[in-house]
Formats: sequence, C-alpha cells, structure tokens
Amino acid sequence: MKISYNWLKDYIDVPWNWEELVERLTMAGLELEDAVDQQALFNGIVVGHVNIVEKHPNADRLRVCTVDIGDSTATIVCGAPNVAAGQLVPVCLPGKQLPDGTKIEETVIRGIQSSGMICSEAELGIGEDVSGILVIDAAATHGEPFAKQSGLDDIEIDFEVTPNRPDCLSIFGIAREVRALSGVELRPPTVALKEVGAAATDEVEIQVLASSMCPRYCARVVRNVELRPSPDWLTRRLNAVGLRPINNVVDITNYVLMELGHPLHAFDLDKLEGRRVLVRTAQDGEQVETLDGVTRALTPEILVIADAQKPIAVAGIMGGSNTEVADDTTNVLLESAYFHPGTVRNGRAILSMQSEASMRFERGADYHATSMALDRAAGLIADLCSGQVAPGMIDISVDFAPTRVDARLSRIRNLLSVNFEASRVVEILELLGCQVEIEADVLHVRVPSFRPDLQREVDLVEEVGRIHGYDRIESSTMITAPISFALNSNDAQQREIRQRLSGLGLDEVITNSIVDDTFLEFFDTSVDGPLTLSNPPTEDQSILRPSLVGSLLDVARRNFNQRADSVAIFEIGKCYYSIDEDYEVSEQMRLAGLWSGGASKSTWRRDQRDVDFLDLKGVVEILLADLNCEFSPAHVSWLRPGFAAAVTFQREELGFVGEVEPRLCLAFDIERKVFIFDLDFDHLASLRSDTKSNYYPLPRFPPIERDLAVVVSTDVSNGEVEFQILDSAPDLIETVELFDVYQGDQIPPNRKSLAYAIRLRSPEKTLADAEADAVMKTVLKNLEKSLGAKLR
Amino acid sequence: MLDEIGRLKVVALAEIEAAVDLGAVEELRVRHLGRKSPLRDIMSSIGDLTPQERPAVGKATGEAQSAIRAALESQVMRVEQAIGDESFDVTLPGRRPQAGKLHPLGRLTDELIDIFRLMGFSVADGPEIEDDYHNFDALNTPADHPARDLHDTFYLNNGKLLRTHTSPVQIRVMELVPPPVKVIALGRCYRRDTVDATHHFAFHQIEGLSVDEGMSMADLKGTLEQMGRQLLGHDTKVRFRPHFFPFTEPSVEYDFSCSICSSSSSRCRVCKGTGWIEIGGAGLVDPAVFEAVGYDPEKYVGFAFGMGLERMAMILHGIDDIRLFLENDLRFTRRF
Repeated sequence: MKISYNWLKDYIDVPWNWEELVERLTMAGLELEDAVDQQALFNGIVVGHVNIVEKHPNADRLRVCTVDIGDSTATIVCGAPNVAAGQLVPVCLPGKQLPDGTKIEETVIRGIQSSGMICSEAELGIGEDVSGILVIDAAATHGEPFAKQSGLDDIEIDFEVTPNRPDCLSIFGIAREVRALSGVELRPPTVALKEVGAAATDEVEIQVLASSMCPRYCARVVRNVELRPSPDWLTRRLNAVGLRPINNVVDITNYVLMELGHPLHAFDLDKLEGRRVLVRTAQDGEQVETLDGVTRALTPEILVIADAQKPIAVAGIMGGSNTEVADDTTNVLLESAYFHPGTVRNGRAILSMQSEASMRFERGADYHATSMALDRAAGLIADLCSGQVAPGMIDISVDFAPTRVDARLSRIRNLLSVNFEASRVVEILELLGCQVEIEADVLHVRVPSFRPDLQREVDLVEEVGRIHGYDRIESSTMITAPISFALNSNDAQQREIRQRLSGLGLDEVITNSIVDDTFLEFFDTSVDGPLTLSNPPTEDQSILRPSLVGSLLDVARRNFNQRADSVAIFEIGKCYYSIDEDYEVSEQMRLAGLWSGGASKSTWRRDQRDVDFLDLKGVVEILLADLNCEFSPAHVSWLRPGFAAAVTFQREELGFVGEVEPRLCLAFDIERKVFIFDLDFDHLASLRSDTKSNYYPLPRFPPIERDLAVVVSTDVSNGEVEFQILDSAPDLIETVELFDVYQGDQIPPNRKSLAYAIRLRSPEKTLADAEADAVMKTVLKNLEKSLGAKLR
Repeated sequence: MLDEIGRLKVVALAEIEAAVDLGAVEELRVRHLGRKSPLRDIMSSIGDLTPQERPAVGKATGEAQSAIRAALESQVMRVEQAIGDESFDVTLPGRRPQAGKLHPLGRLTDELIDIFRLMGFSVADGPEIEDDYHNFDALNTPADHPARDLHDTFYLNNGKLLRTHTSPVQIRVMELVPPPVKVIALGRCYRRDTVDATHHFAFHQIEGLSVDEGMSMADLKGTLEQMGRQLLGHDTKVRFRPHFFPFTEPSVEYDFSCSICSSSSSRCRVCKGTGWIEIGGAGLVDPAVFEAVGYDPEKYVGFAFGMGLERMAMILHGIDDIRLFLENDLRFTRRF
C-alpha cells in the first residue's frame, strides 16, 4: 500500500516528521517497504530559463542552448524539437543524477561542450511523453529546485499491509492508525452534494437477486459529465500512489478508492441494455470481456453485475468493456457496493485474476463506507467533470449487525504481562474507533465496521498490545524441565555421528532433496515409483530423492570440476519413498558418505596414493564400532560387482559400502574411482540407542600371542577364516587380527597366504605354553578340515 | 648467615638456568663451587662460629652446594641437547591427520539445539511430506483464508504437500501429548519461491512452542532474548513489531539489535542503518489452534516462534547468497 505523505496530511495533522511517522507505524504493524523523498529524488534538477537557441554547427537535429540556471548560465546541447527561447525547463546539472540514477556529466557533443541536460517528462520519471522536453509553467522561478517549483515535494511511502488489515488499504485508513497512535483528531473528507434534475430511479432500475453475496448495493446517477484529463493535483496524487491517470471519471473512482479504501465502479449509463442493473450469479455459458481486454468465461459461482441482457461486470473484481466509461460517455452510473468476502475470493480464484478492488473486498470492505464513498465520488465528479448528480441514492441493503466482543481486563493484563489501568485499555480501544462499556472485569466492545478482523477477545488483546507498544513489555524467562515423547528427534545421535565423521576427515554437505530424474533407475526402491511433484520448481527438478547417492555424486562432480584433489563428504538427510500401490509415502533419514581421489588432502604427507575400498570401509568400521556389524558380499545396482558389501547387524541390513559402478561415475563425469557407503540412519540410531556398553572385569591373567599363516584357495574369504579360527576355541581366543595377505611366486597359483596374530587368554588362570600349543593345533585342524587350509 | 647461604643458592640457580652454552656453565661452576666461591669461604671459616651455630651452617652450605651441582649437571644436558638438534626446522608443516568440517547450517543447528535445550526445550521431529490439515487447517488457515496466498505450496501427485513451515510439528506434538509442552522443531521447508540470492524453494526453519498455564508475551520475549544473546552477544535486545499470522494472536515479527555495527551505521550491510535485524515471526498460540488439538484455551496459554536458518547463518557469517548452502562447494563449506 503506497501512500503520499502530503495527501495523508489532508486528514490529520501528523505530529511527526515523515521518518518518525514511518517508525511509529512500523512499530504498530505497518512495515515500511520503501520510502521515496521526491525532493531528494530530484536533487540534481533545477529550473532553467532558455535564453538563446542556436543551430548546432555540425548536426542538423541538435540545438545549442544557452540556459540561465540562476547564478550562472550553461551551454547545453539539446536534441528535442520543441526547445525554444523563453521557455522554463528542467535542467539536470553535470555531476548530478536523474531520478533513475543515470549520472549526467560534462560532455562534448559533435564538437560542442555540453554542461548538463534538459529533461523530458519520461527522463524525470513523472510521465510517459518522450517526444520532447518538459516545459514548466511560467510561474516558476529559474535557478530554484525543480521539485519545489513543480509541487513534487511529496514523500511516497510504501507499506506492507498484512492480509488481516483491509482497513489500512487507504490513505484515510492510515490516518486512522495515526490517530490511534497520537490521539490527534481526524479530518474526514468533506462531502457536499448538489442534486439536480430527475430522480436517479427514473434513469435506472436496480435489483439485487443474490443479497447474501451482496449485502449492500448503492448507486448514483451523474448526468452530462465532460470527460477530459484530470487536473494536475489529482494526477500527481495518483502518480504518487502508483496509479496511472486515465480520464477524470475513472481517476475519481480510483482517487476515492485510495482515499477511503472503498472500491467504486463507473458504468456508461447509456450503454446499459434496458436501463436495468441486476446483481445476480452468472449463468453457465455466459462470458464478459473485462477492462483488461480478456474475455472471461463465467460460472454460476461467480457473482456478476448484469443489465437486462448480459453481464457488464464481475462483481467486486473488474468492470466489463461493454459498459466502460469512454470519451463519448455523458451519463454515468456510479456503483458502490459491499460484496461478501468469500464471494469475491471464489470468483477471483476461479478466474485467476486480481485487482485493487478484489484485494479489498476479499479481505473485508467497510459496510458503512459504501454510501460515504459513493457520495464523495459523486461530489468530485460534479466538481471536476461538470456533472449533475441526480437526486437520490439507490441503496439496497440487508441489515448489518455491528460486531460486539467481550474482553476481560484480567485476560488482557495476563497475556500481555502489563498491569494496565482499566482507563488505559478503554482509551486505546476508543482511539481505535471502538465503543466500550465496562462492567466489573468485562469490557463490552462494539467494533467499528472497518475492522472486520476484530472478532474475538484475543484480537482485542493484540490491539491493546500493539497500540500500547510491545517494547513496553518486560521480558521474563522460565526455565523448565524437558519432557520426552514419541516424536523426540534423534538429533543427539545425528550430532555424534556427524562429529565422528568430520573427525575422520569427511566434510558435511547438505544437498537439495528435490532432484532431477536422471539415473533414478539406479537408486529407486519405491514400490510405486518415485514421489513426483505435481507443480515442480523447474521442469528438471520434480522428484523427491529416493537416495542420497546421486546427491553426493553431484557434489563430487562439482568439486572435482573446481580442481579438488580429493573429495570426502557425508550427509545425513531425508529420502522419500512410496511404500505401497496407493502411493502411501514414507520418509527415512539416511546417512551416506563418499570418498574419492587422493587418500590425503595434504601434499606434505607421504601417503600420496588414491583412496580404495578399504579406506572407506575403515571409516564405516569406526563409525559402527559400538555395534557388532558384519560385512558380506552383495549385489547393488549402483555398486561395482565384486566391490560391494552389505552392512548387517544381526542379519538386519543396515546398508551398503562399495565402489560406485563405473558407468554411473561416467554419467556424473567423474573419471576417478568413487567409494560410497549408504546406511539407514533411523535404523542405525535406534540400534545405537538400544545397545548398552556393559562393564566386564578387566583380564587378570596375562595373554599368550601366537602368529599363524595359512595358505587357502583365493575364493576363501578372510571373514570365513577368521570365523573358523574364533570358532575353534571361543573361550580362549580373545582376538584374531589379520596382518598380511600374500599371493605370488612363493605359493601355488590360485592360492593366497593369510597371516594372523592370535591372542589367547583364559579368564581363570595363566595359560601354559602347552595349552596354547594345543589350541593352535585345534585351530589348524579346523581350518584344514573346513576350508582346505595348509600351514604355511 | 643462613639467609646469606639461601641467597647465594637462589642467585646461583638462576644464573645457571640462564646459561646458553657449555663455556658459560663452566664459568658458573668455578664461580659458585670453585675454591674462591663464597660458599667455600663460608665452609673454611666455619671454625670461627660458635659450636652451637656450626652444625646448622655446615648442613645448609652442603645442601646449597649439592643443589648447585645438580643444576649445573642438568643445564649441561640441556645445552648439549640443544646443540645436537639445532638443524631442525620447526617451521615445517605438521603431519596433519585428515579433518573434515561441518556444514554451516549443521553447525548452526547444533548451536540452536544447545541454546534451547538449556532453556528446557525438547527437540521434536515431524514429516516433510504433510497433509493440508496439519500444514494449514489445524493452524487456523482454512482453504479460503487469505493467508494461504502467502504460501505457494508444492503438491505431490497423491494430494499431499511439502510442508511450507515447521509449524505442523506443533500440531503433531500437541495431538500426542497433553500440556505443558516445550519443544523446538528444525528442518527443511519448501515454498514455490523463485530462486535468487535471498530466496530458495527449499530452506530450513527452526520453530519453538511452549504451552503452560500463565504464559504471556513476556515469556516469549525472554526466550527470544536468550536466543539472541547466545547467538549475537550478551548485549542483544529483542524488538517486537506487530504482524499477522493465522496461527498466533497477538502476532509479531521480532528483530535483534544489530551487533554487527552496534551503532546503527547507515552503511551497515546487515541492518542497513536501522540498528535492527529482522529475524522471524512469533506470537501467542491462537485459541483456534488449541481447539483443533483439544487443548483448553481458557486454561493454557502458549507462545510460538520461528526463524529461517539460512537467513540467520547469512547474518552470522556475512554470507550474501543463499544458493551457496545447497551447492556444497567445499571451498565454501570449509570456511566455517
């Protein structure tokens, strides 16, 4: 909502300068969007008197002007055809700016020094005429600032008005707020009507057929209007609040709209078929061309204004072209109505269009302003368009019961934590236009019709707080004990895992969860396909990701493109699935990590090799150290066959770790080997919180260490050998650690040697060497029998 | 006499510790233990003392001499070691273990959880894929409510939507537990904004809700003041500006005083000279919301507040483009 500071002063003596006005209104709920001080805007422009105009010696269309700018004269080269000696013109001086920010400098144009610029209306941003320079009224004084001489000394202030405050969508409405904050009395606009000739009802017959959608319909007839451009003061005000002047009649309806906030519409009375107006719902198949030139197909939910034959306006939204006020108009039917907010909102939604009028009606117009706005506009048309107002206002209305709200003083005090005197609360409410009666603790409040948002006690609490000032509320702090419940988040687990992973050298990333559908076939595990947005942000981004893997590959690509030598990253983030044919959805927090490129980020370290499977597996092992997880060969679409392991806890699958399928890397333009793990984080978190680390006594007897190297077939896995070793004497073998794998000349082909450090310990006594030897013999025998191993 | 012995010992030990080469140490040995040293003089004149004085002075002198001897020995070792390693370049880079960094939004999340945990808030989780009821209707925003225009919402093909704020978590918590409740919720939200330097269609919010008997705007203010002080410094003040949200009444937007310029400099990039930084929205829970979840609006009062995490991180670190957060250029994320 854009207002003009000068205009506002018509209705109230604002007790503050404009900066303080903005500050006060901001603190009362009208947030400043922008403020333009016209004088500052035209800071560099002065009025000049053109003394001499000569032809430019080197250019036919240019003129060389000598311009008196008060204390000196300037030579200015000008291309406008209408420049002439004796004119007063706006001059932008060298080193200053036009309102649009263009800087004007001394310049040489075809060999002649030009010191400034004579401006057109368009260059000053105050009109659309580009055909020539602006010529100022002879009353101006040359050398003076242009803004002051042209009445451009206003402040344009743009406020954000929240949707609950339709009453602030007008200059007078803002004045009411100023009154509430300052106590200064209002000066409502004057309405002086002189009625002439035959009664309005002789000219037109009006019927409201849908009174629930249109509780009040008022109209007046104005005869013999003369259409012409509006006077300067009016166009200047419309310009200041961002409206384009059209003709005097239309401008007046817009003026009253901005002044009082009540939408009006002017019909060309002579274009009404049958001289009738019907307020009715549209019939299927009806259509109307609205003033924006679009033909609208209407439906029975939409309220229209119709003549005897056809719709002539969409009620509360926009008028029709067929009855538009144009140059040939002489008699005007002026409409001022109160349409039901829901009706206008519905129509607006069905037609997907908006207007200044619909915005106000759907938020709630002021029932009682209907007639006042009509008379105000009719009076202005009589004054400015030489019109004659026909006697009698047509007013078809159903009763409007004022809103009454009871509010308890104690409740107001408690919610705002301010110990108000009753008189202070009453004062605030009365300043806001309410009528208040006190009965013990209860205030009986009659709410003004321009405040449809005040319906409940709590709405009045807000009003009292707002006008009293929230900065006068003291703060207090209550520290209470936390509660626990089923929706508790696993944020503590997330933090621990995130910190552990970053400690292990991985950078945390947070990626977009709305992704494109490329390579989706690799990741999608949804029952009924991926979750798709019906109105995606862009054509490419339309899927809720079913996996973090693609997102991490994308981050790797981006960073390799930025010449990263090594990318080690992880993310804890949500993935989304359909879990049955009915498109039932599920969200799962997943944890994925990626490592690719150099094993070390530092060139100084000696270890300059690339990462491999075991590097990332090591990270996963440390991550899962508190759980006893197993790794087993697996087949996963996005992992390279043979280099993929499933991570399981007591046979429940937690996720996978492995080398990314090379085709997939290629698809992401990554030429290096990429290793990824992907785990079900929710599952992991619940396992971790279920797993208690119990104390057991530290060993009291010394261990015996034995090494064992065996040769087995290459298809026997380390996991199988370790399992068999442990299984040979579970009570006495404490740990088994692989320390060497060898394949080569010294052993037969298709065989490998595995060497283990085995620690033996008894909980009951110090083991004797002979006992250890016996265990090792059992181990070897077991390995020979179950895996065909040979002692190396 | 005993005082004099003590003084001689202290002076000797200090001089020895300050010696930087073997020659200096040797010189000190001669000075403090040699034939002409003061301690020797005391020893040789011990016969002049009374028989009662002799044992104490003898003992003290002996002890002082052995302390000086031990100091000389250890100083010799120290000096020799320094000579042996003098070619080592201590400016060589250390062998750094690989270290990762947390994402700036992750760090801010941790910080906020810590701040609110200390005030007694629990952390609640809710789905991102929501229904109209939890995202709008239960929050006093029925289908024809003008406030729905404020949110341009993403819908799924099954009619569900992506939550436009974290507020539906409030509803889910209140549906589940009776008052009092005191929770925060953090997470992703989605709105159909055009992506530019300050908008993204996917962003993160933090939301707080506290319901109990006897709550007021003062409690809301105190809670936000605590958050502001922890995030921006202990002088931070909170300012309420009246606003409108369907799910709170009264509704406010809250600002923190600008700790970046702290003098409302008109060139301040963060507050633009106003001295205040817009942070988020807040208010007392609207009675209609309590009715939707079956809380008694006469008995209980609640306050709620929300804030965009990206916006806060941009303020804290002076980041000028919201898109950087989801791009994950590691040169960016590692800066924090």
